[in-house]
Amino acid sequence: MRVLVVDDAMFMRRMLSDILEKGGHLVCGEAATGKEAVERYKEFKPDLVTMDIIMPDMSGIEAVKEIKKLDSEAKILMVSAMGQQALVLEAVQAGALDYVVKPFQPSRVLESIERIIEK
Amino acid sequence: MESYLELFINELEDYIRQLNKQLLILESNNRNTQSIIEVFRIFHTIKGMAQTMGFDGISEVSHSIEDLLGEAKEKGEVRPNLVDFLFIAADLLSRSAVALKNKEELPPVRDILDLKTKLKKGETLEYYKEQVSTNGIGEIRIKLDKLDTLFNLSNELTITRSRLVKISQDIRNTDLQVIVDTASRLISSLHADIMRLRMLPLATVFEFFPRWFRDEAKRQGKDVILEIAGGEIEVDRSIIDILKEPLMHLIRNALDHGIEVSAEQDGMGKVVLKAVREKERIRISVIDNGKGIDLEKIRHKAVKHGLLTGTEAQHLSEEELFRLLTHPTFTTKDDVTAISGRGIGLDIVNSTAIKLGGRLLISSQFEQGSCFTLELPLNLAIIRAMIFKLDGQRFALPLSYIQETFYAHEDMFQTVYHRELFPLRNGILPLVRLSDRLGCVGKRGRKSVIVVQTQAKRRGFVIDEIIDEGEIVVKKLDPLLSAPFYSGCSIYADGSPILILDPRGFG
Repeated sequence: MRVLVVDDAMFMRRMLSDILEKGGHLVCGEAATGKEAVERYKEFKPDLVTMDIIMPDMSGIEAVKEIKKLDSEAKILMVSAMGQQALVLEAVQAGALDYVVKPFQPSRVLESIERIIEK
Repeated sequence: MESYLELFINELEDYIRQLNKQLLILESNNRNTQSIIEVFRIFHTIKGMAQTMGFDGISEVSHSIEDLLGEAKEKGEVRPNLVDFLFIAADLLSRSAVALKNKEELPPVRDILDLKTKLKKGETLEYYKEQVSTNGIGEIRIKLDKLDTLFNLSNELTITRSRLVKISQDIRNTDLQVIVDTASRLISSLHADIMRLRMLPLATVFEFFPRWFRDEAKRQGKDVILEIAGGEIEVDRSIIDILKEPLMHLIRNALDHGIEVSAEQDGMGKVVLKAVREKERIRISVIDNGKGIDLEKIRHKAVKHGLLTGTEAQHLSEEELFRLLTHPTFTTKDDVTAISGRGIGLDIVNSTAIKLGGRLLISSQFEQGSCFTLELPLNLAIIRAMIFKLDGQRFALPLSYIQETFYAHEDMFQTVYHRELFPLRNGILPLVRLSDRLGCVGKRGRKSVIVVQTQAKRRGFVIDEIIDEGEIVVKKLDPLLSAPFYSGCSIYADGSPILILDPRGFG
């Protein structure tokens, strides 16, 4: 799977990328804001996006909506910190397929991706 | 996890800087919704990172602050006591970052959580809507030592280039000359680009001051504002690293002593920290609108301490009198009150400026304010120096130390108590024969004298002959080889190595 990793913290992007690569996926791009995520999506056409919620510029939820407008088949996994459950729900309504709560177990992230592929 | 720790600390420090910046905005305008959102986002992100690393204290504090900010969605404003609380939280994060760096135990979080509970009981607090400033990721972090290696290689290349050019000029082969010209141009632009990689905006240091100044002014109960300009100017990282301390000295002096009276009289004291770029140099000034420096008091002190006679004191120019403030004698505690405290640490500031190849300029209008300016080169790797000869060997001396040069015959030297002196204009110049100190044999007869100023000392370095003046690339000496007389070495255009003298090493 070619994955686009979206998170405002470089630390989180690095960690997610490592997990994904160890799980046999290819990280084809990264983005630090919602706007960037949409731009990168157009550019890379990834198979999957991992999306943070609270980010500068444009929230992860707005980004999900924008990406869904571009590509209704887009596969998006929300990766957000605890305490944002309401927002996660909103993201799922906007079209995200699953979510993982930080701090995450690497296996949890990979399992979610497997589930999304099967869907 | 260990491998992520460094990245975590770096990013945490970045967020703390952003946080302090936003909190200062909120302190002056508590309805700035962008800043409220940004502060929320920062704590939220720190929380996620800390949870992932397993730093429960940091994540708990960040989470509870997120909670505090999230609770007050309706109002779109923060109360001043909340801002104060957030400053305390920012400090806790700073201390945590330091502890992590030093591999020490993290500071306890109980106090701050108790404080939060109290704050929450008494207040309803505010917040939140989605939309903030951009923060792209068109950048990567590089370890400094990797950058330094690159930089050293490019320095070597620059030196090799000078040799190549010289050899090609001697050989006079057109094909060779063309290719040497091209290589030379490429090396220049490569070097310039690598130098640029090492440049950081002054804001990296400047952004520390608003928060620190606020705390200092508050502690002293003074109503003073700090204005900052020129933070976008980029200078070499090695200068950035050293700048903070001298600027702290200057700003603290301005706050402690400069504006005291005026703040009470005129209502508003102001300190300006301003940077301006002038060709290859920068000037960083700390300006206050306070009471200025009393020249009479400087004269009085100088005479009292035996630095000057009464007559000398009356004849010194304003500039020379201000310069006396950088004399170590003026920096002792007793002098602080006597000359309105201007002396604190000024000798340190001055010697830092000189060490960086620059200088400290002082100007002041009594009753109107003072201005202290650090004039510094943009980078340290290339300095202007005088190249001279002694016993057939070449040496370099940084121009920043040199006041003047002149020829003199040895017959004109006078010896008083085994010390050689030279009568220069109205004064006496103590001489240092470099040949004796460096263990070489100087020629007899006509000599050159370089007048060197270091801190409070002015001496004449006696040498054989001055041969050149220009830019040289400074290279560090191997620590095993280093001696107090030398600050580094360089390669002269003909390929021969030259040692760079450090006049401060001559006692």
